[in-house]
Amino acid sequence: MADNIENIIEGCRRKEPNAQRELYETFSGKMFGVCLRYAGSYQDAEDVLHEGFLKIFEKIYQFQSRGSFEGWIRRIMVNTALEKYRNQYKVINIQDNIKEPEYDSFEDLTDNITAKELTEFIQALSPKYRIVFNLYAIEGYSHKEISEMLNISEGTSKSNLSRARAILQDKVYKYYSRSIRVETL
Amino acid sequence: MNEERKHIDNIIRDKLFNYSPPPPPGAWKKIEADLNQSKNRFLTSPLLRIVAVIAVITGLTAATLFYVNNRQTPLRDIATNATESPDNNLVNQSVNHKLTEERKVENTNIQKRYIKEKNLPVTSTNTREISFDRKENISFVTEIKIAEDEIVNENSNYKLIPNNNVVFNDTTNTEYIVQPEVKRSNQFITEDKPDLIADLSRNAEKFKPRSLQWLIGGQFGPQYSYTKAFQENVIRQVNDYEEKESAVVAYAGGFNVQMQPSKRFSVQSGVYYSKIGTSVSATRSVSPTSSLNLPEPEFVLVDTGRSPGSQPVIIATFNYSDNSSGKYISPEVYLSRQNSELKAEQYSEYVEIPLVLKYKIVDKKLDINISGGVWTHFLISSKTVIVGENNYLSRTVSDRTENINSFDYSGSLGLGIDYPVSPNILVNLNPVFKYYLSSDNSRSGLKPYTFGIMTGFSYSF
Repeated sequence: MADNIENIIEGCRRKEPNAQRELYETFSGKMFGVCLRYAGSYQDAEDVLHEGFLKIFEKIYQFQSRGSFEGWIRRIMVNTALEKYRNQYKVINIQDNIKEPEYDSFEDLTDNITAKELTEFIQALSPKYRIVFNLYAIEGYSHKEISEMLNISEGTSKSNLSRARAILQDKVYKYYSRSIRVETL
Repeated sequence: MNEERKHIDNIIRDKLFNYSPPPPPGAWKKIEADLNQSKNRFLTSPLLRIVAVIAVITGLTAATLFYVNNRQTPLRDIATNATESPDNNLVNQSVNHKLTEERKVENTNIQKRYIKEKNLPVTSTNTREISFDRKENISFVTEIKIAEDEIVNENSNYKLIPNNNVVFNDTTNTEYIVQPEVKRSNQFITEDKPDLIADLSRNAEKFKPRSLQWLIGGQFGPQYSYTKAFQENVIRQVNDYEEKESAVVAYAGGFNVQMQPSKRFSVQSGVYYSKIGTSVSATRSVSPTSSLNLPEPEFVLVDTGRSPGSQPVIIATFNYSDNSSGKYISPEVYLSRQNSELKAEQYSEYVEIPLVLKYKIVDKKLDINISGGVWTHFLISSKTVIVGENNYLSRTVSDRTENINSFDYSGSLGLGIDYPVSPNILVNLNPVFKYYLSSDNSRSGLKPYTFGIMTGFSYSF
């Protein structure tokens, strides 16, 4: 697999159409998953995927083959998405007192929720919540790093994350409750 | 509570990190179409189009001016048709001379030619006062009078340039090409002095095209270099990288030889040294880039990327653990946090051989010329310098940069000013724009450009 990826990357560096197509087929699914999480709609996600892959093919010569290639293209996708929503997550956030709902076991609640449904919940968040949640919870950036990346304060980042978490938990809970009701009926 | 939050995050992350939904149908075809369009795209950038238009207009203008100029001065034809005097010893004769051509000429060239001829042994016979008298119905017919007392008077307004059958008026900046006619008189030419007309006649017979003029010189100046993604889609794609890359000013200079077959037109070549560079923020592109599943990295790489190269440079070893959160973080984030001022500067040094065509658009005391040509660049070295506030990161890395083409070509457009400070020496100022015709980096596909303001001198001989 690793050798195959290396061959694909080399082919892409030489701008070979077959290699480019193979690379797309290998990673388009996962990358579309990334795009869907950052984008507000399916159409927006498709746009990010499109732009992101063009950027990947253009910049693939910069990849040094020493780290994770998937990590590299994932970062390009994330950056492309950030670029798209740049004007939307700079909205000044008012520090609202968010009280996160408390549930018995979030893990239990999410057991029956598919990744597609969870992605839709994230998509439904406003950009400022969605982006921060993705960067912190899924990509692993700290609030300080996020504040630098998005040019917002750390407090705003924390606040947005907290709010995003609360909304998601609420959505999951409501979804779970609905599912229970349907099963009961 | 914090643990619980992290737990929630991890649950969502586990579900979504490797989520792989089917991509939109038809998405690949759109990407493929854009890739093909990008490959076939040429001159899509407005800036590149403007440069191309300027180059075409400049070329056409230069060609037209050159053609028109040559049409106005059919020197070879005049000389060929010149009528030789039946008597080479034209003593005590007055002579009508057909002034076959009159044109305004640029002072410098003529002066240079005069100065050159002045040094010949026959000079003293050819520097004389001459007047002209045009007659009706005979265009450009005049009478040449030679006054004895003006012999060897360098302050004379009119000077003969013997080999070319040309007289030149310093005051009016007018050059006359004289064709002697067979009409004798005894008015002006004395027996005991060498005869202008005889000289003209002899020269007409053995007329040769204007001899080549050669100049040698040197130039030196600052040079600003950069790589710019002209194509709009490329700009968009690399925008986040360009924000972290800036141009640096380096220097260029060298020696040149100029061949001048006509007054306005010249061909220049030589040997030049050129240094171009780019400063890149080290936070820009560090590999490995995955913030997760880091494969035990031991060093950070600086990828200087597009211009001038993509040499990975080992600058430091790091432990990737984040003290505050205990999480693994990406090396670029670590680096940006630790050394926000860290930069990598790369320089490439070239020996360059130009082939440049120059055309004078203004030929006065102060010449103005336009130039265009092709430069061949031979790479002689490429260095990387790490510049940072932290001493343990600041160092010069003299590794040879990988992926830099060993030679390259560029096209140049320039505007030049020449000013004579002595009869043989010209100083010049020459802003030159060079655009590389191929990428200097074998893997980037992006082409650098340079803008230099060269100053120097030329010596004519």
